[in-house]
Amino acid sequence: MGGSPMTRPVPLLLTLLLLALPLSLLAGQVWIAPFAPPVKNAIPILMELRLPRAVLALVLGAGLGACGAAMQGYLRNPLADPGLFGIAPMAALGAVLSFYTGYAVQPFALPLFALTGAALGMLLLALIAGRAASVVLFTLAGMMLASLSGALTSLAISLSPNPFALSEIVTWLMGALENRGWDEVWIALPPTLLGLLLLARAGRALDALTLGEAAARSLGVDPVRLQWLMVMACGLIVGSGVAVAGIIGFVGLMVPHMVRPFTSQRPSALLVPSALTGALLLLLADCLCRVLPLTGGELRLGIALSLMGAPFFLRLLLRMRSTLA
Amino acid sequence: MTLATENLAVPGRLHGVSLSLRAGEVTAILGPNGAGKSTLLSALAGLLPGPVSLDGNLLGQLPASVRAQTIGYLPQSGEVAWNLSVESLAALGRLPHRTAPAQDAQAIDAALAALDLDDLRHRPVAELSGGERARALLARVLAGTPRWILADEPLASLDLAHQQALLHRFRALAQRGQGIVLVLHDLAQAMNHADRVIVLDRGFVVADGLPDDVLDPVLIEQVWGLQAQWLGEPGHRALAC
Repeated sequence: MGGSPMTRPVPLLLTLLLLALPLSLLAGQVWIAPFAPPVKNAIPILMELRLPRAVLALVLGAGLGACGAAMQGYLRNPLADPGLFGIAPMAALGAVLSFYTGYAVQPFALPLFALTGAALGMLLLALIAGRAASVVLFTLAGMMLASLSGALTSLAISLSPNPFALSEIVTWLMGALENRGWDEVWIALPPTLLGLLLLARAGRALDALTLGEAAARSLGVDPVRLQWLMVMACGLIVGSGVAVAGIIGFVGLMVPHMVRPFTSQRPSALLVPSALTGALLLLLADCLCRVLPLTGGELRLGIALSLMGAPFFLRLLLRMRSTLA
Repeated sequence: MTLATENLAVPGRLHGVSLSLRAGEVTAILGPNGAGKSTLLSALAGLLPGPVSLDGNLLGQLPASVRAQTIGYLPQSGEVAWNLSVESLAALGRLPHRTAPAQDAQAIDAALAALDLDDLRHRPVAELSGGERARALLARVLAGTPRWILADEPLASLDLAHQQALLHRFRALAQRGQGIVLVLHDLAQAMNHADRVIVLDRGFVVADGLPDDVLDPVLIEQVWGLQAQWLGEPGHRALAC
C-alpha cells in the first residue's frame, strides 16, 4: 500500500509550501525585500496584514482541498466538489442576509450569519435525506438546497435596500482574502481543523466505498455514520470558509485531480496531499491577486480561481471525452 | 460453524427462506434470472434486514467489524470507482482488520498468488481484461481471510481455465474449513463442484440438497423450462439440452 516515492507527494508539497510562504509575506503592493533597505511600517504590514492573510489562505485552502478529495471519494465521482451539499450557498445566503438587514456592520455579525446559514443547511440536509443514507438521495437534497439558497440570494440582491448593500453583497460574493486579519483566522481555524479531523476519520470508509455501497457495507462501513462525518466535516470547513472569505470555488474540484496521479488513488491517500496542494494553490493565487496591477483594486480571489479553474475543468472534460470515445 | 436463516422474507423478492449453511462446504445457489439469488446472498452477508445468524448469533447484533472480518462478500456489480493498482484493490480487503502492515502484506500476497495475479500486482484496474478484473476483485475478498466467502457470480467473466482453477481454489478453501457460498448460472459447474445446491424460483427455495439428488431433469424443466439430460460420469457431468 506504501508505493514508490512518486506516490508520496507530501514531502515535496511541504517543501513548496515552505518556499511559498515567505514569498507570500513579501509580495504585495509594497514589496518587502529582505536584504534591501527597510520599508516603512514593514513589521505592521507583515504581522497585521500579510501573515494573517497567508495563514487564512493556508487554512481555507487546506480545508477546501481535503474536502474536495473526500467529496469525490464519497460520491465516487471526479466531478464532485464541496459545494454539492448546498452548504456553501446556504452560508453565502446567511452572509448576504447580514448585508441585506444591515447587521453586517456589527462586529462578527457577518460570519455569525454565514455560520448559521451553514448549520441550517446541514440540518435541512439531514431532514430531507433522512436516515436512508443513500448517496444519490443525499446529492439530490444538496442540489435542491443549493438551488433554493441561490434563488433566495438572488432575491435578496434584487430587493437590496440600497446601492451600498447591493455593492457590498456582490463584491463579497466574489470571495477574497483582502483586508482579512487575525479575527478571521480565529473564526475559520478551529472549525476547519475539526473538519479535517473528521475527514481523517472517514478515510477508511471512503476507501471501502471505492467498491460501491454494498461492498463497502460488507467491509463494515456504516453509511449513516459516514454520511454524518461528511456533512459535519464539509459543513464546518465550507461554512467557516464562506463566513470569512466569501465563495471560493474550484479549489475543491481542481486539487484532487492535480494530486491523484501522484498517489495510490485511494481516497484516504488523497486527503493530506490535497490539503497541502489546496493550501499552496490558495496561497499562490492570493499572491497573484495582490501583485497584479489592476486599476480599481485587487483582483478578487474567487474570480482568479474561477479563471484558472474553467480551463482546467475544460481539459478534464476533454480528457474524459477522449476516454469515453 | 453455521450461517443460517429462518423464515427470511424480503418483500417481493424472497419468501420464507429457511436454511442452514455449514462451513467446510461449497454451496451453490441456483435459479433463473429474478429468482432472488443475489438478494439471498446479500441477506446472508448481513446487508439486508432479516433474521440471519452466524454460529447462533444474529448478524445484526454483531459488531460491524466482526461481521466484516468473518464474511467476505463479492457483489455482482464489480465496481471499482478509482483506478487502483491490483495490489491496492486487494488491500481494501484488509480494511476491517486493524492488523500490522506485515500481516496485511502477507494476506495480500497470498490472495494475489492464489488467483495468479502476482505479475499484475502493479497494473491499474483500468488496464485489466474482464477476467483479470474479476480475479482482482475476488483477491480483495480472499485478502480479508474471511471464514465465509459469499460470491455473486464469481466465474461470470473468466475463461474456462481460470473458471476451473477458481473452482478448485474454492474447494481447497472449503477443505480448510471455510464456508463457500456461490451464486452460479452454470448447472454443470454446480453439479461437479458443489457439495450442496439450493435452487430458488420466484423467491422460494424449491430444492435444497446434494447436487445429484436436486438437479434432476424434472426439476430443471420445472424451474428453467428446459428439457435436459446429464451426460458423463459423476464429477465430470455435462448438461445436454
